[in-house]
Amino acid sequence: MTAAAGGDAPVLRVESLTKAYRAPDGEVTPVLDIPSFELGAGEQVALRGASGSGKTTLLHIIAGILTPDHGRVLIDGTDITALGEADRDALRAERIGYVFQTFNLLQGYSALENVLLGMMFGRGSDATAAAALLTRVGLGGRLHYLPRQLSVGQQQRVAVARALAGRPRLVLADEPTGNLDARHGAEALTLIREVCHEQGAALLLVSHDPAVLGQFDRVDDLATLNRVLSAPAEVR
Amino acid sequence: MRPGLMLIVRRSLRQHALSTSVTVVSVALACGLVMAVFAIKRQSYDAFTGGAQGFDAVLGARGSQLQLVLNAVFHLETSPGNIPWQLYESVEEDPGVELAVPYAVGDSYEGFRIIGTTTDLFTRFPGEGGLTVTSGGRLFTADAKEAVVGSVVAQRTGVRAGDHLEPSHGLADVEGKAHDDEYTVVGVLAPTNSPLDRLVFIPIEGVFRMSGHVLRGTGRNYRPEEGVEIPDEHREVSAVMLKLADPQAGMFLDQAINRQGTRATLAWPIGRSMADLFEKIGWVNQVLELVAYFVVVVAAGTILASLYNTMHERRREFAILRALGARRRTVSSAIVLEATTITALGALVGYAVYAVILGVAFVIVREQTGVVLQVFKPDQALWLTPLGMVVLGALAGLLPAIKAYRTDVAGNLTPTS
Repeated sequence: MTAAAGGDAPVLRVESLTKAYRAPDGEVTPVLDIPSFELGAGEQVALRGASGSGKTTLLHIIAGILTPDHGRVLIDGTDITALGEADRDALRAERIGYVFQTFNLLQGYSALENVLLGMMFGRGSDATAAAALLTRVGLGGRLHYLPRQLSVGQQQRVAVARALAGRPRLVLADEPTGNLDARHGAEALTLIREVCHEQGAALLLVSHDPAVLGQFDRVDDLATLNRVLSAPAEVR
Repeated sequence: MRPGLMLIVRRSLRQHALSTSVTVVSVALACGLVMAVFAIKRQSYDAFTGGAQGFDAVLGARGSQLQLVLNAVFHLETSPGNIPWQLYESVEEDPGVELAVPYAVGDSYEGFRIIGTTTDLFTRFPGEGGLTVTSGGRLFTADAKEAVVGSVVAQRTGVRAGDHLEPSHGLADVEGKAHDDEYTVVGVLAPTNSPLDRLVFIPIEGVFRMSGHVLRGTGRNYRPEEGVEIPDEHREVSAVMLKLADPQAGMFLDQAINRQGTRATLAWPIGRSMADLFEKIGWVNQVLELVAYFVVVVAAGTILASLYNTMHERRREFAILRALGARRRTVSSAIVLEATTITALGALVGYAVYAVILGVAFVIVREQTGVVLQVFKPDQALWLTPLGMVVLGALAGLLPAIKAYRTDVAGNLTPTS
């Protein structure tokens, strides 16, 4: 999976991607139909998408959590749709960081352990690096706090640190400010962008919040990107 | 092992501390019980079949060898009856017999049995470590009203050298059945960790002359008179403890006494009678083993149920771990490892349960028989049981692990409420 990992090769390349959901009664609902999408190394892109636009499904496919029906997804030149599940897991652990709207911190684990979990399935645990990352996001004094002992803003900062802990090439952020108020949302967004920049990770952020989208130089609209959404019969 | 697996296991155990503790306790009980059942079986077998205190055989009245052994060696049953003095003398003169010690029984002191015997028991005791009187004491004189007491008797009743004791007729201390005789304690035996510790020894002549005793060595009643020597034909003994020169002597005596003779019974070797007894009551052990195995099955079920019940609430946790790059196999191995860890913890606590059960058994057996179980003697049950339990625990973790393996990642990454 090292092919085409050169400097100007795209970190993410999506080709002719389609995905549909099949209900138990056999009804097929198309969700995604994206002819092409690209993200350069270290680039930061916002994707405008309302809820129900298939944005989470798209991020899951890019992360290798879901598989598309057709098309290819290349991470650093590796087509993850051609990989088996275990290889996709390994690639996700090594190359992709994920920031969720609901943070998805593990409640039984301290802030430090949550960050360590972001490392251990990939390049391996490094407690010093994990602590440094938490210090970088302003939680140096909260290493051993459990998520419930932290404010929501602090929890999202732990989640950001965890997403970057494995030194990923690509960070996927799904409405990362959706559960935060305006001030904390703005802080979290700035933090994500800064840390991705510092670590040299590309960022693909999905949001429907104009205040968030306005921060990015490049904003793509999922409504135009995803051909499912342009067909009136398939409005969901 | 995948990195971080142990962290996942530790955190899960902490998060489900209550069900973890309940499961650990049930595994501990199961483990402790199984180890105890097997260890007590083996150790009581060893203690009772090997606890003949150096003697090879017992000669006694015609009847059951087992009753003879229980009475003369373990001082548990009643005596099957007496044999004439001449019989004792004839085996004592037998060249195949190294040592013959006569016992005359039937009296007690504060519930402890009194044995009328000769000083040969002490001076020529064939058992390991000998039979010695602690400092400050001495052996009784054959024609004096003197007594030597076992260590437990001294400890329980408080009698010491110089004290007096009055024997009671019969084996239990019944009010109003005391003899009018008074004996002076002249020595206390060093502890032997055997039934001997619970006995009072007096000269055999004393039993013959105990007030109220009649001798029937000739078949007619004979009452010994003060100052008049008892003719040998009137004397009788309850049992004769024998140390044989070699196994051939045993076979020869067995032939002569048990097969050709009609007057007496020879229990030889002593351990075989006890082994027969253990064989007869073997079903008791089988029942106990069955109960113990049943508890093991319940414990394994507890592991399975408690883990399986948490699988639903942990779906999101598994999904998050998967999203962080954990493989299906990593997540399911964590569950198997968790089950194994719970079982291993339970097995460790099981040693405490085992120690308590064996401690109680130790006290009861010593209390009832004077036989001392080797509680800390290594037994293969002590490592086979925990090993088997851990394997069973890992198996019990398989079903929950399969459920964890099947967790749908995309569907569980968002709150389910």
